[in-house]
Amino acid sequence: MKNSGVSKTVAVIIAAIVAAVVVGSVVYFAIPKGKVGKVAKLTQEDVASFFETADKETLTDLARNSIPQEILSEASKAPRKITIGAEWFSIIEGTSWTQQCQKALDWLLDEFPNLEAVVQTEVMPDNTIPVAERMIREKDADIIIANTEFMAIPLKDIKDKYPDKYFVSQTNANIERGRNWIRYYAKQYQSTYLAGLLAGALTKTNHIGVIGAMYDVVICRRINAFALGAQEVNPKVKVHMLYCGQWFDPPSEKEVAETLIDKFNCDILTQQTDSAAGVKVAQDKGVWYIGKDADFVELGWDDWDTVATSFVVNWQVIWERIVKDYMAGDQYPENLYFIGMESSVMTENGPLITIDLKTRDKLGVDSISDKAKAEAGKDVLKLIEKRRTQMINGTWDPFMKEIRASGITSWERDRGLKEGQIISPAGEMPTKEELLTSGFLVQGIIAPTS
Amino acid sequence: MGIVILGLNASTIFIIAGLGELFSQKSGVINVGIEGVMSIAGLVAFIGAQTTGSIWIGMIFGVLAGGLMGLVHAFFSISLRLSQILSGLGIWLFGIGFTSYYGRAFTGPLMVPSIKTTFGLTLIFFLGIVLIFFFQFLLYKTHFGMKVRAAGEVPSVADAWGCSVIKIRYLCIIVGSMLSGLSGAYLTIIYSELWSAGVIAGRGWISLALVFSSLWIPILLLGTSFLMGILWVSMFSAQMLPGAPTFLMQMIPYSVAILSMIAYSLIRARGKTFMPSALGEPYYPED
Repeated sequence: MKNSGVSKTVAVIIAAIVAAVVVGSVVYFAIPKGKVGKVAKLTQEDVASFFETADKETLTDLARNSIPQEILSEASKAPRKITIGAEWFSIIEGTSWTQQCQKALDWLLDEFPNLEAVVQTEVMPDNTIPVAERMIREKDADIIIANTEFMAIPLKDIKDKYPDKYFVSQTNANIERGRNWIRYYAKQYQSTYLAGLLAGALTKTNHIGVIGAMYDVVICRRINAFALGAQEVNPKVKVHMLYCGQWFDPPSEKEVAETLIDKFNCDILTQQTDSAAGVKVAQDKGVWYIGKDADFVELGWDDWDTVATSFVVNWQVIWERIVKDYMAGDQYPENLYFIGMESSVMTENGPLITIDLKTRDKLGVDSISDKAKAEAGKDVLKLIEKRRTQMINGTWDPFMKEIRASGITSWERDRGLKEGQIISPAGEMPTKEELLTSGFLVQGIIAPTS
Repeated sequence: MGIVILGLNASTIFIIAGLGELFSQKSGVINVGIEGVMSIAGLVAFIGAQTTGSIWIGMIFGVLAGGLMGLVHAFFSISLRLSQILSGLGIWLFGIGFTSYYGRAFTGPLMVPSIKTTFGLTLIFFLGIVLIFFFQFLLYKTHFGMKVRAAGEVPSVADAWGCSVIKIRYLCIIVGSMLSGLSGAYLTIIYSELWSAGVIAGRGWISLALVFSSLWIPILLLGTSFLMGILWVSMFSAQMLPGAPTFLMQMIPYSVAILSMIAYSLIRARGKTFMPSALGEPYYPED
């Protein structure tokens, strides 16, 4: 009988031990530390150690739990950082085209505080894609802008690989585009038309020279408008164009400029190339010059005694639209821009239109040098102002004039067009696509057969 | 007439660069890095002119830069007896790379007033003419010229006469490169009045070809340079010839340079040799 008493005691002891272990475990694991017994005293080392070892998520939670909700709500409304990856085909210094592109980019960076940019110059077609992908990978670039078609075209091959990015390319004669493959150009021809009005009035020999790069749709379009303007005020004028073979070749540009003056008796020059070589020749020979794609006087390439005016492109008018589309999260943005004087951006000095005549801070007729104004005469200046206003209002365009063929380009020969034949009658405006892809030269332009 | 004046100004580059190369080759050393020398000298001259505001100081800088590159080539090809072709190619590549990188910040027009011209021709053109006749006289009518030609034809005999072939070759290369430097400086600060990478555009190579086609005679080099200069500028007005393809016209000067080399090879194949016999060969003085 004594044995059963001992067994009971042992059983009770064992049960007590098991219960103590179970309860103790529950207390240890279930109840948060610090609430049991004394509160632990944290030292500075403990805090430092916590912040060193805590992961990002823990810290984020800690911050979120510490910051008042109203402040968090406000912060979440701020626009996220957008990065532009700019691929320039040339260096910036000493060039008209890329310098103007860089100015447009700088304007955008000032305008949008959440915008950043990374720039790579001298990008050629064989490294367009590697550069773009590096910008995306390392700088988280959202919008890739390439400033000339020949090196931008490869970007279309990666547009589907990065569907949330925009790939933006200047268009020359190729107007292929896609959902996030955006093409753009400006109606520079509107400002070359105005410059042509001035040149037609200034020339005394009736011969105007153009230093051209090569036979190119963009050059054709700009010089066509230039010639139309010159012929409007001076029907006898001839526009002579010679090709250097490249966009940037200063010694050849100089030689072409001298040939135009010495052999073809041109007393006004302009260029469809990118260096300052031609304006130096004009200064030496004492002939007028019209700057192209940039304010030549502001760049310091010459002064108002030689440069009657310049025509400039404010690419930011186009790029601002693209950036805003991206910021709005537009998955189907406008993908073919061809805009002109009717479009603008707002600045502290008022609207800045896409293209214009410009010298320093003066626009339109005011940008023309006083000496050139005196030689051109008031009637021409009034016409320049009138046409400029009409184009800003969107009520007129140089290509609404009657267009007759020169017969010298392959584009015309392929269509059986001979010199003098009408390409487009007066009053009819070619479509955007037609203007962007047509390679004709108007009658009155004397250029190499192409 | 305008095309002739343009052509003569363009020919100045070939006259002076070609003359420098001719003088170097007469002593037996070829410098295929002439394009690189002209590039470096052109950049240095441009920087000098732009920063000092003086064309002539820029020209001096360019000449000195050319001389320095000549010294480098002389050291490699004469003292170290490395292949003259390889040394020259190294200088060419170095020149192109150096000027492409360091010249970027200076790309653009020269903001210094142009120098005056006489009948549309620059002072450097007339200097080039004078130099041609000077070197013609020096090489064929003076004792020193005979030593130079001996160093280029049979250096061992020249050595036996008591001429220091090493010193003569060093001098000829350095002077020759100084002339190449003068040509590069002229191109950037007087002819183009503008710097950009690649501004030399193959004119150094054409000058090298002209030395061959002129049979290493300075007076003939003058004629071939005139022809090349006029061809060079004519290629633009030739674009207006009916049916003339633009790019084909621009090939003309380079094509003529190649044809002149072929013509020289044909002359040589007939047994007539005008090239210095020891050209391209390192010289080992006898102990």
